[in-house]
Amino acid sequence: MRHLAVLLLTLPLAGCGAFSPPEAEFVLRAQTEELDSKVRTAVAKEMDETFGTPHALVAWLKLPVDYGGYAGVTRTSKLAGKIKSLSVRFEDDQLAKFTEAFADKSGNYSFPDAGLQLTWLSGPLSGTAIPVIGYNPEKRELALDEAIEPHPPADTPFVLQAGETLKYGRRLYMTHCMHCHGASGDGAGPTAKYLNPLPRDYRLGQFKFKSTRTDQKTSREDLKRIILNGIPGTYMPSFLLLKEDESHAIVEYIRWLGMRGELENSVVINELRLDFSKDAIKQRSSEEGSETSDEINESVSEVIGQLPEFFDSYGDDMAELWAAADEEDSLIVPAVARIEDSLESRVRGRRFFLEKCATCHGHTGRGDGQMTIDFQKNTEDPAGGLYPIPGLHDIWGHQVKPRNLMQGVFRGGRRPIDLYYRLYGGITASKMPAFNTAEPELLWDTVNYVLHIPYETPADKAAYKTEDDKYEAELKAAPPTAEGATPPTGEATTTGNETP
Amino acid sequence: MRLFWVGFFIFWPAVAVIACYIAPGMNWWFPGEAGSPIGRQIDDLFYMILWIVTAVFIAVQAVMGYVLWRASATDNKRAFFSHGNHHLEVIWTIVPAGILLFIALYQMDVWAHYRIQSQYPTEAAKAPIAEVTARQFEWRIRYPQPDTKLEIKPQKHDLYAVNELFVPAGRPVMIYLRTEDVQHSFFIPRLRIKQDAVPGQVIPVWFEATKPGEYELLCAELCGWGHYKMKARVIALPEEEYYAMIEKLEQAQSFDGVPAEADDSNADE
Amino acid sequence: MSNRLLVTSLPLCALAVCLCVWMSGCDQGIGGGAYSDVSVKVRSATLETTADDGAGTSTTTTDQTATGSGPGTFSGRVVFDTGAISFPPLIAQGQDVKDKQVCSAEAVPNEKLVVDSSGGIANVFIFLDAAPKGYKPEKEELEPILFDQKNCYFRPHALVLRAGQPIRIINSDPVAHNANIQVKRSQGFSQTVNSSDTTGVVTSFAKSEKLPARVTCEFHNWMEAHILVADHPFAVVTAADGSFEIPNLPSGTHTFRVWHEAASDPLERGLKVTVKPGESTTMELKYGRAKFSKL
Repeated sequence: MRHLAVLLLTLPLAGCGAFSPPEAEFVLRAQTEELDSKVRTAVAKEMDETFGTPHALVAWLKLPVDYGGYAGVTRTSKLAGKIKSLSVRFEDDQLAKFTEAFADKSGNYSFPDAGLQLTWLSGPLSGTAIPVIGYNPEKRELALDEAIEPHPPADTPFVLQAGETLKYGRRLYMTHCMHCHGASGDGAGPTAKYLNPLPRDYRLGQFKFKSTRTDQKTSREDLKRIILNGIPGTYMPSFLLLKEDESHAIVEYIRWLGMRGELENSVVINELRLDFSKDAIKQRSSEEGSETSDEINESVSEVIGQLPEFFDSYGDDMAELWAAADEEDSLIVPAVARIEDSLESRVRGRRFFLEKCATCHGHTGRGDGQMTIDFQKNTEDPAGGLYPIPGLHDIWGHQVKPRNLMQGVFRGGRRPIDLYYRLYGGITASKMPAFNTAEPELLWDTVNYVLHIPYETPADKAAYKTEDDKYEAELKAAPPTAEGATPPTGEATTTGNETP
Repeated sequence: MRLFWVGFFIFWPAVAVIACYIAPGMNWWFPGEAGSPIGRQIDDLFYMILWIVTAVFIAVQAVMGYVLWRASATDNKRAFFSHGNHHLEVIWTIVPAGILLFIALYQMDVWAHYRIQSQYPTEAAKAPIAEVTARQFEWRIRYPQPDTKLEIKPQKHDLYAVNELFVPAGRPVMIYLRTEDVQHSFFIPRLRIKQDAVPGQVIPVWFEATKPGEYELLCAELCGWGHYKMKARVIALPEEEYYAMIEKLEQAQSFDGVPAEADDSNADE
Repeated sequence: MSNRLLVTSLPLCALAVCLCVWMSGCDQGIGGGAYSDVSVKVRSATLETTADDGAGTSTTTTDQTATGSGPGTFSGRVVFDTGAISFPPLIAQGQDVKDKQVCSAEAVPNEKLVVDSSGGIANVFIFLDAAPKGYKPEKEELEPILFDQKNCYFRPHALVLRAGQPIRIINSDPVAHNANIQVKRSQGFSQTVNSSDTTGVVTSFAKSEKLPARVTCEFHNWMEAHILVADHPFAVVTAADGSFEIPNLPSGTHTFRVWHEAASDPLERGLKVTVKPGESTTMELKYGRAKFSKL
């Protein structure tokens, strides 16, 4: 009797009981939580309908995400009667994918026991799904598990196994990425708080290391490169051993999470925060000449009614940007090939560095420029104050340190082109500006200089010193223009405190 | 009951003999066939010990079975009580000691070859092929530029890779092992090589992959929450292919983003 | 004996089993369990409009009700209630700042709040939240707007840009500047403008913004300006004397926003203005120190 009692007492302690870990959920952004409660609830509902929950994902076809599955259309339209086989047409690429996944060598298709899910994208059955149990390649007919009625008209689009890649991406993301980047991609997973720098919060739709032009989003290729190579100097490890389809699925899921957060952010920031935050509502009703509560309620229900439109139009804008990032002409291609690395080239590059980069990266590239000790304006602070700690801050509001180039650790990759991307495209999300107006030759000189910083020899330093002296002398000989300008000088620190 | 217990003590040695006999063929004890000569030597040592242990086990079981059989044969005969028998104590101290001493001496060659730096294969020790830096939770690799020597201090034209170590097959190679953060362990099961990476130390490790192929590289020291994902691959290539691969790596590393055809003017460099 | 052993060990075993189950997480898709059941629903790319939707019945999506015909004008002045006020320069002449040979060759004025001798507030944005209903923009070639960086401050300090209108960002200083235009709806713009580059960089923003976007320089952290991107012409910035004029407004009641950078909330969230055909509606908007909380 006694041991039975012990057994019963211990059961609730088991995983199925009170101490099971919390359910994964998509959290809303802090700005959304600050909205008036009615508006907040409406946004939460709209977000659920547009993106779903971690257990019931929604594949919104507006977004340029490869959700996976095999898309096709119906071929004929039978007008009456129940049918169990469906004439269909697949595009070549879809058919190839489909065949590779399910056909054996002799061309027979076999599906998993539960069959494949066929989801109608439009027509009378739009949104519903039915199981498909077979495919006849000669007749090009799908065998259905149960008869359907009405039969969709010809050219009705459908997807088999809709969202397969998204689902696979979710599984891999939850296995490999979630503990740092969080289930919502908010960079606040359980292990995030132990890390410095913090894991990326995808929800602004911005990533730092990209090969696209400064006004472009990050391409799939960029995200894949980061996943495979990791980011040295941070906690992001390399996932090189992922297979091709695995990394593809993760990239798509991360892009999807990024778009999810970005859409929420832009709707809230642009359309709702100004007039419908808790504070704004309070002000609107308390100020003199204030609005009556009826007026406020009316505007609240009006804006709630507009939410689907907001999601739709902001979704369009966002989808366009994300899709453009993968276009060929978004990629930065240097106008000239790399200038050969030489002392002369590095001397030229160093001059550029002193003029443009030293403010943040310091005169010797140690990442200790003036901007790292100045207090900066907090762009997100409505009161327009300064950040509480000195130094540069990124769009996530975290302090960012300009890279110490002495260490020779380059987060976005160490190929010359990677450094060129950083210079030409900047790092939009942190404070690194784009130098795309500079001569490409000069950028290559700078790349050569930066790559050489950890390996400077006494001979290099002597050459730099000579060039500084010459530069000074020239300035003295030809006094600056009417504005009384002298360009920034670097000689004070470049000769004084070199480490041996 | 008598038969059962005797049978019981005879059954297990029989299982042991069969298991020992078929084990090497079935690859039960090891993560795959040893991929290197030293790996085979290490396996041989293991099997030698296994045989010694099996022989002792069988002997003990046989004696047990015999004693049970004899003692239960006659019901009223008093058993011989041997506790405190000086001769027996001396025998079963000296015999195992001798066996242990034998094992200790027998394995010294292999151990020295494997772990003592002065015994490392000279060719490999002269020209370490790469530096492997363990880091939570990945393996960062630094090769010297082709035709130069690997220096402890990073050099300008070093080549960098992550989680993928190329080695020439068929000859011993040496790497420098270090760690950027906590203690890790460099473990290539197929090559029977396992060496801790200790913060602050650069540890030379040599190994050899006889056949070209892909070998798993794991971290064998619990190094943090991401320990499980600290996996990489070692790819052994025939000599020429290895050099070609390093060349390819060098080219990839110096890529300047300009498509090849537009890059002709600089291609000669 | 053996029975007793069983009695005591059973609960222990049960406890151990439960602990194992607990630690393994029950193996049935707990929490974010990577392998828990997931469904995917497909959502159409196009918006399904439902007739009973709130938006459908309400004709005023953006507060403008156009009645009558013919355009009118909204003009007036924005004034500071205590009259003139002035602030010491942001950077005094000769002050030790970055690039001081250029940046403090002359004093950099404090343009956070510019009030002239008669009390008029400059750089106040007055604009419609969205184009009035039924307004169709004329197809016009929009002239590029010049945006300069001189003596280490932006000129002009506040400007209105039409969506799609080119803005030419130049640099009259012999040091490099970097204009970082923090628009919210288009991808932000952050680009270095070389020293003394009078050709400059030309860009444009396709989307209208709800509020003026802040412009900063990554090299000189005191530099600041604001740009409002609007998709209609009914957005202005007050002149130095605080006056403004918005012509060609469709007649009817419009709701204007009045915004100034030194106020953390808009000066007016919804200023109701009724415009009659051919007439000019004039208003004097007066604000006190308390409104400008960012000063």
